[in-house]
Amino acid sequence: MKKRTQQIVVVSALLVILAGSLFLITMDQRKDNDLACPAFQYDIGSLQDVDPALVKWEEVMTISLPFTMPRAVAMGPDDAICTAGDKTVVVFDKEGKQTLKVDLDGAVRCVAVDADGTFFFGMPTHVEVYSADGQKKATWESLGKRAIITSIAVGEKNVYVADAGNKIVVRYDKSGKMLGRIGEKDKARGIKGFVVPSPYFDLAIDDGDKVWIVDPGRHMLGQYRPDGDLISSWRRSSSSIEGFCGCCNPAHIALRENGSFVTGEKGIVRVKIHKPTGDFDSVVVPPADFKEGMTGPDLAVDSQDRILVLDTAEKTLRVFTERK
Amino acid sequence: MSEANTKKPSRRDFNRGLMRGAGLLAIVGVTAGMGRRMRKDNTVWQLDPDKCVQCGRCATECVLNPSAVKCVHAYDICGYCDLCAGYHQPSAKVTDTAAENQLCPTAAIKRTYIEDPYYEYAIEESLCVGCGKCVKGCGAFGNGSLFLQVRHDRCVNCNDCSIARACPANAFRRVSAEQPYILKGQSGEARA
Amino acid sequence: MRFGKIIFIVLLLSCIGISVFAVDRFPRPEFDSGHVLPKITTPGARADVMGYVDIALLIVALALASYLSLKARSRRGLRLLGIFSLLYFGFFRKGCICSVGAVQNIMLALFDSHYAIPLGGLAFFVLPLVFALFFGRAFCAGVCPLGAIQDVVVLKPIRIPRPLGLLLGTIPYVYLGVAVLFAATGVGFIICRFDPFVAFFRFGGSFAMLVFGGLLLAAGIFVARPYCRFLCPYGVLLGWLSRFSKFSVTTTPDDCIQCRLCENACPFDAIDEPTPETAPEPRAKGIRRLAITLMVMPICILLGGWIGGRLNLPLSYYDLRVQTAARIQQEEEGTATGQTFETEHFRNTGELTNNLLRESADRQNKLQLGGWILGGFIGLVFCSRFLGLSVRRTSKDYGPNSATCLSCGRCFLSCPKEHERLKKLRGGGGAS
Repeated sequence: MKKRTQQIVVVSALLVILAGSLFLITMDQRKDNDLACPAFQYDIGSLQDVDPALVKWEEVMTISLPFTMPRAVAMGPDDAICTAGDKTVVVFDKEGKQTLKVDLDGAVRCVAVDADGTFFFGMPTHVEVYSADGQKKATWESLGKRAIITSIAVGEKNVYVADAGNKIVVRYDKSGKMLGRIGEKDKARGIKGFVVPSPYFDLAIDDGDKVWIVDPGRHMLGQYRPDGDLISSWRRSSSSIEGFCGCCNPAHIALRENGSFVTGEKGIVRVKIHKPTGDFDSVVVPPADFKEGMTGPDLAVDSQDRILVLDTAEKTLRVFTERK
Repeated sequence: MSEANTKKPSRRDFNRGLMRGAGLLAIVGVTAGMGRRMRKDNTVWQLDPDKCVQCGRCATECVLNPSAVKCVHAYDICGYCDLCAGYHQPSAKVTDTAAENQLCPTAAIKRTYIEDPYYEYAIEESLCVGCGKCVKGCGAFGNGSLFLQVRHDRCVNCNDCSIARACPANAFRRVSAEQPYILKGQSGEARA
Repeated sequence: MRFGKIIFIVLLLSCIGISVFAVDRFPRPEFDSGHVLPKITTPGARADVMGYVDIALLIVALALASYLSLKARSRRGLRLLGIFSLLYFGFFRKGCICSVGAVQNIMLALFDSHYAIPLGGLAFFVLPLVFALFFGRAFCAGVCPLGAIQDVVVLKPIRIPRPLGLLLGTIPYVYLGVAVLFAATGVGFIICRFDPFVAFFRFGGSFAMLVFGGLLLAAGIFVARPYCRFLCPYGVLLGWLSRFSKFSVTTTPDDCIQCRLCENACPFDAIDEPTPETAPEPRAKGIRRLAITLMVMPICILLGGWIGGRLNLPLSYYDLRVQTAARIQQEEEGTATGQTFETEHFRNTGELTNNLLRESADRQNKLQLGGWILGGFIGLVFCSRFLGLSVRRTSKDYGPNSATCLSCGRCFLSCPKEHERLKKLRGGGGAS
């Protein structure tokens, strides 16, 4: 009798172990969504949703670009489209046919084209000037080791160069002579300086020789006279569609004929139109239309009010027109 | 009978000796074979911040509670922003330290005013659970100065790291105990 | 070796190249207030020198266990040594590094050219085996923390029916085989993963691990050291070697007087009874048995191999990468809708799906080949274990089976001759 009890104990003990191990293995193999703790998930999903009624632009043309990393787009005379990436610049006509290809000595970061077709390239610590047919004309003095030139704009007399590394905008004449600096900290004049936490710092020529400069850390755009005096400004901080969010937005801007702004944002990647007052107007490209790995898109507007968006993820140039 | 008694054990002993020799040979063989595949220094687990996708499993899969993985801050690539995507909720309207505006589920990030317009963010490691939420925010909107690392003052260096197994990005690997971190920033500036 | 290094450097450089590409160098703000940037703190890993301390302590503990089990014959000494090992290798070192799992590191180092085994891992694998070859399973007696924690709870050990014990005793072979296969193919270290007591050593772990460990300890009250006997894969290797060990533990310090007092002294059923003297087997019968064995053995091996080869799919699903690959494929073919946690985050990495699929297919191929070998091995083990039953061993005396004896020393005091020895020792000690 006693031996029988013993055996029962043994067998049941071993069965318990067996059941335990099986339980363990099945528990351990259960790897699915409900193991992910929602409190630990970073969710910007809802912020990426855009009401389709706000999207008032449609894609009409796509030009594929021969760069591993597209960097910049700018408009030239006669709506020539100048794109840059890696160490190369490629120019297309307004139908998207390639008209010129220039190989540069170094990596190009941004580009501007003068009315006569002269190219200005940000290289990225100095500016190089090329003629309309792709011959090198000049190399300007470097802005220093810290410099990262992220944007260039050419006006009637002035060339404005945005240096994200030193957080200033430098004004040159067209021969490369430095005329002034905008945004240097100056307590006496009450200038706090730009807040540029990452290499996104854009500007655009307005009305001949005035310039709009983005203060990305403040989500602010300011219009400046050539001497650096602020004329007007607006800022919109919001994670919703009406404003800009994250550390440094908008990453890129372009001006339309009617005075409204095209803005390209990073983080939540999207392209929007803001009215001349700064109020939100409409959406050009919603976040869902960009692929994973997209950064803030560079922008340009041509004379027919088409918006050109540089897609760094797809490595294409996408052209949009307003829906009728 | 007595003859068998003395004979049998000796034969058995001989066989045992033979087998023992074979066993020893096998062990020596394995050791010698390993000699070439051996390293003197120990290895520890570390995650590659360039591969990390901040899935949140570092917080849930470690055998330790809280996890040995913590967020660390590469100050030298931080933008010192007022509105910090690693610190503030993406929906935050104002840039202050109110709890409802903070992204970190355990309020482990300390925000300090330095000078206009700069703020410094530091990780309180005793509170950090290594979920990587802030890392994702910083990477999405900012410079990516926040990143996750296995902290070796806490890690018990399991032979089979359970986070490594569960990592969907294959970001964990064994590194030398002499250089147990894969840092951003400091090394980042040097390599550019 | 050299080639491997070059590949490594190339890989390293390409990694750096990618990160330069991904992260822009960007100068930090310059502070007017002269604020100094804090540095990233990097608390160091455990110093390498402590690894040598571990190895030294292992050698001392093994030597001590051998001495206590063979020469001093002290159960109390072994128990104290066990408690020390439990405290040091268990609670202080938190169960890692451990000899039981080290076989996997060896396997990984053999088959994965990127992995090099640390000196400590090799030492912890080899030293207990060397000791087993000369002094029996001294490691099990008082060095292994997994054994020691179970040894503490052996309170009411009962005998296990012999056929059941034999059947359960084959589990470690299967476990060892699967663990070696998984380690060699880089799937994972299951011995470490399903180490039942490491959660106790760390005062924390998954709920499942704690339950499993708790159940084993509870069962261990009646079924002494269940992990050691019916699961431990390292025990298989130790058993193979200790079978031929130079010196083995004996119950009696002298000649056996056939008093049968030790019969029930072993909680692990490791004491062999004497086999009754029988007439020598007729030659023809022996030859026939040999012929049958030689016929059955290959069949067993082939059958096992065939089954093992079929198991590669279920086996491969233990691997999370393979699981993810299968799911991604389903999603892309449209046979599965929605994303799982793994596939969603895998896509976030930007790694090419083809890479994952190739890696997964490669691993499955390896597992298929490995499955054949594993199956064959298990077939061989089953065959030899059950054929082994029919082989007669002649032993005249009661005594521990050198393969299964854990050298714990519990049987010493059951022998009247031991009491005589101790009395003499004490008397001698008093006289001197």
